[in-house]
Amino acid sequence: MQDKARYNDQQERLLLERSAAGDRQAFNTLYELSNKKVYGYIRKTLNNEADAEDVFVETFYEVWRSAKKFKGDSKVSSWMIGIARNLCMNHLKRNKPRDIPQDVVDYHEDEDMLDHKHRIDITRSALSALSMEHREILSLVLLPEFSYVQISELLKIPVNTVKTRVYYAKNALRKQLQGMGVTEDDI
Amino acid sequence: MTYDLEELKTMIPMYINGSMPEEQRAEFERQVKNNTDLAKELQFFSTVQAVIEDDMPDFDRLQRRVEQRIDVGSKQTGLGEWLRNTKASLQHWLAMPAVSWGAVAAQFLVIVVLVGQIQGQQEPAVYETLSGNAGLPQQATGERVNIVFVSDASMKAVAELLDTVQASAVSGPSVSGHMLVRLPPDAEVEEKLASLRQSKIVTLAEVAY
Repeated sequence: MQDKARYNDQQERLLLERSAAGDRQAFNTLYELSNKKVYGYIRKTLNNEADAEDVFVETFYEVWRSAKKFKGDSKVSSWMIGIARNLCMNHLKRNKPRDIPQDVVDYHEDEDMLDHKHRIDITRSALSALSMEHREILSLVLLPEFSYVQISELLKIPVNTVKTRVYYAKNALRKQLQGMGVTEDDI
Repeated sequence: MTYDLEELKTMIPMYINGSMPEEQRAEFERQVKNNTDLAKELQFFSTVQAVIEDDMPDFDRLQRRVEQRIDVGSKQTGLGEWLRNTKASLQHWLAMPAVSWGAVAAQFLVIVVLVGQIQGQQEPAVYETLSGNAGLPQQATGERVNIVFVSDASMKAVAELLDTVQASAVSGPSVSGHMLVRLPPDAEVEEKLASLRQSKIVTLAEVAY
């Protein structure tokens, strides 16, 4: 797994270098390799599909524009998520955060077991109701091949603080689910 | 290597996202099989990850938007880039201590020069009358005396008379012939007044109050 992560980073560095030289094909390949990761983070942080798409587009535009400025002292994915994070925070400062649960689902108490789709919908609803900080930390730790060290460097906090924030976010999510009448066993 | 339960729980996101070192994965998977609490926690995080992955958009459509954004951005680059570069250069240059202090010193100099010029333009206080001061000497002390001269008194006669009594002009003479003069500090006022009154060119000479 670590070899794969290292390979992916090497590949991304090469693609970014070529993008910096104006190679649109290389940039498109970099986009395909990283789009899910970047979008997943932005979507959960902003909690809104339309806003997430706008910030996503701006993120990759900024990646293209700033490719020459990449110093190589972090992974390419960390650097890109860092750009995404800055743009998310700028967006939230300019716009009132829409911490409104999207696709709120009614949970029927007489169901003993939730099917997969229902579990996803319930959890999505509960996640949407969390604070931006909780949503962000949960999306960061689940980003593909994103380590605690990378998150700690991105947020400029110690690794143990990252773990503590994950712990609190997880508990907040559990509490939210309980408030919706859902236990962890159901999820 | 063995881990306690809480430590294993913190490792769950790294296991799910693939960043867990290979040597830890086997041990972790073994622990999950033997610990229902850990297994539940793993399932919990897996569901959260599934939510994140489920919310993916049409990336082809977004890629077209990115390409359009880059194309638009490239067109704006010319002037925008120049402005940004100029601004960056100015900011960098002004941030240099020598330049900043130089600017402060230059501003101070400008203020000093301006203040100096304003003060230089200010004329000394001069008593202005209809006929002007006539360049007669002025003194700050001594009794002041009002004198009214005859209408045809010449400036030369006036100056000679004032010289005789050692008086200095304070103001006037006006069109009506009035003049305010000051006697010397130690002058005998009545004597001076008598001398003035005796003059043919004086119609009035009285102490001023």
